[in-house]
Amino acid sequence: MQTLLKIAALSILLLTTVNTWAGIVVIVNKENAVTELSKREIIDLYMGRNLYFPDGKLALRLDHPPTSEEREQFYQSLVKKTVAQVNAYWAKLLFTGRATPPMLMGNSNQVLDTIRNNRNAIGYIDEADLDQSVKVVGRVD
Amino acid sequence: MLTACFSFYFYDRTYREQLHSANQQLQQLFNTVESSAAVAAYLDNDEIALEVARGLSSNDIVSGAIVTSVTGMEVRGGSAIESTTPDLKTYTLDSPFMSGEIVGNITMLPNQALIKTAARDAAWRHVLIVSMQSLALVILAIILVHRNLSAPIKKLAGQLHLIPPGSMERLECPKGHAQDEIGLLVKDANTLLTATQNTLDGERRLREYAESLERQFRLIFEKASCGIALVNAEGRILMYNPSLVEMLSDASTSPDMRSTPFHSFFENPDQVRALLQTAYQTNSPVTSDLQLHTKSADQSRWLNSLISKVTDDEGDMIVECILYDISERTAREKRTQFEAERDPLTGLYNRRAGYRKIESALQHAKQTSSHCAFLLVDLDKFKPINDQYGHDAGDLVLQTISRRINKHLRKEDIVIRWGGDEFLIIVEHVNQPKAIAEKLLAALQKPIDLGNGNRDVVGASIGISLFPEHGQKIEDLVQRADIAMYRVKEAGRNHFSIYEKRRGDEPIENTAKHHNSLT
Repeated sequence: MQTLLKIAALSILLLTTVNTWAGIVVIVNKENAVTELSKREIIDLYMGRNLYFPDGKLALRLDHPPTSEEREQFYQSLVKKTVAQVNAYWAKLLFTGRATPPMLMGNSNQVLDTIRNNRNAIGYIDEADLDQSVKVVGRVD
Repeated sequence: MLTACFSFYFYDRTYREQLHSANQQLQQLFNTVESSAAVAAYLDNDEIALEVARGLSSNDIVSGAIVTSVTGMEVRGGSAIESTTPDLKTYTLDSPFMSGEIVGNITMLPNQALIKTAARDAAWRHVLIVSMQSLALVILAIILVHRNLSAPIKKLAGQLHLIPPGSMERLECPKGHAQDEIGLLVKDANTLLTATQNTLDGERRLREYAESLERQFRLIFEKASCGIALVNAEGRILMYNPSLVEMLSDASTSPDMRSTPFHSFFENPDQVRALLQTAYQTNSPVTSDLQLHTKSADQSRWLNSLISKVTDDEGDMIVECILYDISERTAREKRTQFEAERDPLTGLYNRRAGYRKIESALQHAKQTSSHCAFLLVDLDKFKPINDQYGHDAGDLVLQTISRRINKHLRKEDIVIRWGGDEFLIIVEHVNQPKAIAEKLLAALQKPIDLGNGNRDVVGASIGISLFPEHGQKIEDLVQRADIAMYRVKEAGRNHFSIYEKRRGDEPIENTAKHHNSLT
């Protein structure tokens, strides 16, 4: 019984780990002309250096809530910074009046919904949450 | 010099350090603004860039700053900067998100004037501090050296200066210096002082000894009763003592002995010259009695001289003459001889001396084949006068008679007081004995002053014998003169007679014995 319990717990742990390890994918509307974005292009979009897709369309950048797993993992993998550091970065830029941080979403579903409905939106989700309604243009891990 | 080198070194080092420090400050300023500047360059955010550039320029050591991005942004703060301005400091700005990617530059113009001035000031301060420390050290060293070395040495020098050479005084070791070089110096100096004192003492004693020796020698030389002279090869007197001056004063014509040659003081200069030559040539001293050359011939002076060769310091040969005045001795000897030979009352030869004189006279006569006359004079009335007037009158008679005999004879004739009132006269080279006898008789017949106003005639009988006619021996000749004299007495006295051989005269020994018994 105990052994069974242990096996079960280990299985759950393994599953969870596999879940966590499933990387972050960058997604866009299926109709977006963009097929793939380099890491650098993703960084420039999300850190406010470049606000446009390669085809010249203004990108609507979507972000997860500050406390979300996805957000933390995304920035850590992308620019090796904590969520707090990224927040401080935006806070500094806010003084200049020209700060355009990504739009804040409530959760992954909201991100998916916004992308499905908006042709120029771009966002990121846990790979586990991915479905066929959006197009993956990059991976961050 | 050393301080100047050190000062220069410290100045240079501090100056460089200050410049380096300024560079580090620039680096630190850059580090401070790097993240903001990187963001500004990343985003081409000129507002942040301006803030950064101004912030940098607000530092004293930064005159101006430029923030540029690779995408073309260029924001300036502070003084204008050209790309050709020297001393520019450029730092690259890495992308805040992509490591290894350069997003821009920060270029700073350091305030060189300020930095250099500050560096110079700091360097000068450092040098000043070092110099002050050096000065303090030097002063400390001087004080220490003075206290431990100069002052004791100065004190010792003062002490040493006051110590006269050869004195008993010694240096005193300053307190606390017994074990160091000063103590050693004092010890060695005292050793030297002792050595000097000993040497000086020794030399003084030696000098005193030499002086006393010299005094004694001079005393000997000057007070010597003998005359001492050093004479060179030419006969010149080099040195002489007072006794010599006294001895030669009779013979000297000049007060300076040195102006007259030695030999010319003597009666026979050639003899003296020869003596000097002998002394030169032989190593043994030569001695001789030399007669001085005197102005009056009657007071002859004799000097016994000892002449020997000496060699002086220069190696010149000189002779030393030591002279003794033997005039007095000679005179004394003569007087002694006179007293021994003469009758004290009359001054005539006594019988013994007379005999010797006759012997030599006869010897001489035999050799020269000359004639001699023996005159035996017997006073006729001596005994009655002696009895009548006393011995003093008798002595007067004898003295007067002697004087008269001498007066009528030659100096070389021998007159002997043969007996109490008997005189024997030997006349050499005689041709006319009668004439002599007559003259004598005449003289002896004259009255004689007997003192107290008394006068009387003594008269004499003279017997004569002749050599070689009447004999070869003195005894024979005297006996025959005696015989002749007795014949005069028999014939009435007051006459003379030459011996003639008669019968009965043969045994002459009797009368000879008779006469011998008289002496």
